[in-house]
Amino acid sequence: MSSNPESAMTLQMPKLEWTDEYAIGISTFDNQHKVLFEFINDLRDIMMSKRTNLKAVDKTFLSILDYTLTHFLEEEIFLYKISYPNFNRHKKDHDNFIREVKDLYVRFKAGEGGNRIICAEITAILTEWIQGHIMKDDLEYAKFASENGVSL
Amino acid sequence: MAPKNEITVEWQEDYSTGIAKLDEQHKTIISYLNEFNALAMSDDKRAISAILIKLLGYTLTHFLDEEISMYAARYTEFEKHRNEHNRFFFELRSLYIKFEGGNNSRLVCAEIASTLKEWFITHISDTDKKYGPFLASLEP
Repeated sequence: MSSNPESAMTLQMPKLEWTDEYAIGISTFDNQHKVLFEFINDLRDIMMSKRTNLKAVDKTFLSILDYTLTHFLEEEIFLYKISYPNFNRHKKDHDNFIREVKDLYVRFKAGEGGNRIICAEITAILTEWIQGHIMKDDLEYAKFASENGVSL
Repeated sequence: MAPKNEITVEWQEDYSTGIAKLDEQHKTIISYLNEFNALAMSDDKRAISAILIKLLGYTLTHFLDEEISMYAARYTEFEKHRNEHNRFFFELRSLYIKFEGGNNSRLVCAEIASTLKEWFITHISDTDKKYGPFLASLEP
């Protein structure tokens, strides 16, 4: 067991498992949300390795940005088409997520902050995103879609 | 190379920031912009969609590169510049959603064409030129 407080912290971090409680009931989006879980587990693996692999962090960051960009657009086009009343708020939340991850990536590439700390920060953003956004806001649009009899 | 029309944008020496890598990226953006313009009034929704996705992805990569350089150099106007990038990027996202989700794609295309031209040209030839000398002075 390492005495390094940072690695002790990551060792306590359990692997994140997808369960049905995360399902919003629209399978395309559920599958895309599962990818977010994979990113968190990738970051966890990176943090748990003895040396933080800079290239792996970089690659994961860019994958997260690339993936969320596509996923957000798919969700937004769907919400726009079904005239979802909270479309603007939902899109703004997505924009804010992009803004946050973008800023963090800039800081990481400019060499600011330890790589483990940056990894921990992005993990925190993603975890909070799953709990706050998917479990609340996405569930809300899925409910609206089902009540109005519209599907993807 | 896309065929020229009245909204074709051409790269001018005057747009140069003095930083080769960023100039090259600006040239790529201009070529995408022209590719979009050449298709904008066609009925080929699939091709228009593909170029818009390419433009969104490349713009994000380019903004990140610029922001990393500016942030690392402690450029005084960093925040203002980044906010301008974000505002534009979020607007381009909105327009793309309207193109894909709405039912008047031709009208949206005209809106996208003018937004792209107006924004990139003003931004590249004005805002970006301000960081040029600042960053160039720090280059080894």
